[in-house]
Amino acid sequence: MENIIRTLRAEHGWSQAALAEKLDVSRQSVNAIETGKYDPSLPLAFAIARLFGKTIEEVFFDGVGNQKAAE
Amino acid sequence: MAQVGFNAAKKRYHRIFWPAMAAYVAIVLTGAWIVDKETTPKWIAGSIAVATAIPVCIALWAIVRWMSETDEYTRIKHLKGFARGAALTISGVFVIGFMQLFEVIDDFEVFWVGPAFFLAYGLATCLPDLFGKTV
Repeated sequence: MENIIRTLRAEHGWSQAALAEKLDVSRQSVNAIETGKYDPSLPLAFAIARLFGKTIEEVFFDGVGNQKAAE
Repeated sequence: MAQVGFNAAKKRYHRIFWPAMAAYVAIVLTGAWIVDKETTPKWIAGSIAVATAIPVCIALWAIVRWMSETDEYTRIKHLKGFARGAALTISGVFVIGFMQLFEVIDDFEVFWVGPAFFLAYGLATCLPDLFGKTV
């Protein structure tokens, strides 16, 4: 699953550590999610989307249904 | 044990783990000073042996609790490392056990199974990262 977390993070001027602190996860978690190596659970995906003021579909892309339109 | 978040879980883990390790070092040093294999009564040596193992058991429990309470990515990464480490250690125990059974080797110190597990757990958790793999 792909996402635009890196872009959104850059727009907000947050480091991976800062985002991790806001989500109460490890910095490695943010890195793994950003690089698509780990797909977050629904509650975490909701928390990420909510933090950026977006919906899950605007942040995460499965490559089938939705595309990177929000980017 | 419910998930409490990465930071709270880390704090709770450190609150148990470091005192347990300090107690372990203190008891190991005290035991080495008190216990004489020739003269110390068995019940004293046995009591000190159990007392030495207790902080390690507490630390192990703290690790398992931390894995239950930390964030989802850290949990799955460490659970996989824990499982792989356990599989590796038990495989080694089977090999050594059969070698003993068939009298290829004479003796094996069971004590080393614990440190071998922790080494295997550490390697199994860290090595996939070095090769760019993740959970």
